[in-house]
Amino acid sequence: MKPQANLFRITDSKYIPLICTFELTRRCNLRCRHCYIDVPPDVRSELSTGEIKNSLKQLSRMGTLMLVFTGGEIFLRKDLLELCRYAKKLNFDLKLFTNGTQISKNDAEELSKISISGVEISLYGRENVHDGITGRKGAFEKSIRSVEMLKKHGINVTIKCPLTNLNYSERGWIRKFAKKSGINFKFDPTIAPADSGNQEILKYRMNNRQLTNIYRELGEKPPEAPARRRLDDLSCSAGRNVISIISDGTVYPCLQLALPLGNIKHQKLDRIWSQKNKVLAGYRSISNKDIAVCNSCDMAYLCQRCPGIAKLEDGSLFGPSKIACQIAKIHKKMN
Amino acid sequence: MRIKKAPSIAWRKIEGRAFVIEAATSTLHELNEPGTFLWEMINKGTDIEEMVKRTVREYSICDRTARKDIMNFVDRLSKAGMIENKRQ
Ligand code: SF4
Repeated sequence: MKPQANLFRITDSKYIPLICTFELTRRCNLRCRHCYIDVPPDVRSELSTGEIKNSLKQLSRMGTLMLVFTGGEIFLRKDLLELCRYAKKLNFDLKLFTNGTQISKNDAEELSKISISGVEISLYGRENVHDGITGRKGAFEKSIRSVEMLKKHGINVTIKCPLTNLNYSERGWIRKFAKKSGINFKFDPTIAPADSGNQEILKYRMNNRQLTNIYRELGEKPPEAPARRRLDDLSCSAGRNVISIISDGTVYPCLQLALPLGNIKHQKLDRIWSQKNKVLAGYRSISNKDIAVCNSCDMAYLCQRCPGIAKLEDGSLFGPSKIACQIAKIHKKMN
Repeated sequence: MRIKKAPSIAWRKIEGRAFVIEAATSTLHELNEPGTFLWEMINKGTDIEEMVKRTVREYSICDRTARKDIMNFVDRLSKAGMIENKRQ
């Protein structure tokens, strides 16, 4: 068995939180129209440097290897480099998700010394479109400068582009830009409802024709393979070998799945993650038979259903997700 | 000779085996049990002479075999960019 498959098999079956998405802050200097964070952040509730370091130590003991620092905008935290250094000392594979507007030359130099695994920068297209979506003039220029600066310092950079009907026509430019700069790019066509449950931003989702074109261009396969454990299993890795901690210390099975399991400010992480945690054990026990409609769906084998998005779309963890159904139908037609 | 893990390397011991990621290429390696035993010593900064001694004890093999196996292992790690050699 390949190392990757073996590692996923072991950690999935033993509930080892191999992958952690750690939201360091909800603060952000941009106002992206499709952003899922729509509740103004309460800065006072943000984890302190010490609390984050303490959780990282616990995660490393529990077996977490892949770590993502995300936000909000993580470079708004003054202790970011300190946290990166600490995470690397604990031997994590560390990636940073950022909008790229707040990275200084010194940051790039330091990140290169720390040897992080990569930085993913959100970019939505050319200047007008990018600045329009992010609601800040000059954002494009700063993000592009960061891409170049990080690359110059030998850091792996990936352009991450959530695709909406606002920047659908920018995809060709993004692709060319990434190619010219010698960096990777990723499109994500799945716009999720806001975490408050507000569906307003779904108006930015692409229509059927646009989605079909995207998948045609990317080849038959969806851009991100579903986080399926097995093809005949409708559940994903959330709460098994995927864990998420948000900026106030609340632990979720995944950043997309707002199911509070506990808070690291008051509880030890291994207790929150244990089978004794009724909420988590209940979530892990969900099987195909509990997921109505989907369990008899003839497109299930093509489906990208994310339980978190399903829950945000209509409040239920136990049913289909509109965007997953839409994408599965497109793939069925293409097959 | 003392050997040091390359700074970009990420790793974790999971169910008795070391899983090691090279950041530059995002390659994941899975070390077997003896490999994990040696890797852990490398991470603690153990020098080669001490590694040989401990390997002889752990696997009841002769000094020569242990040294040869360790040097082969170190050579492979070095070629994969997973360690930095420091002669002392
Ligand atoms: S396509 Fe829709 S109904 Fe079918 S499995 Fe996916 S989410 Fe469920």
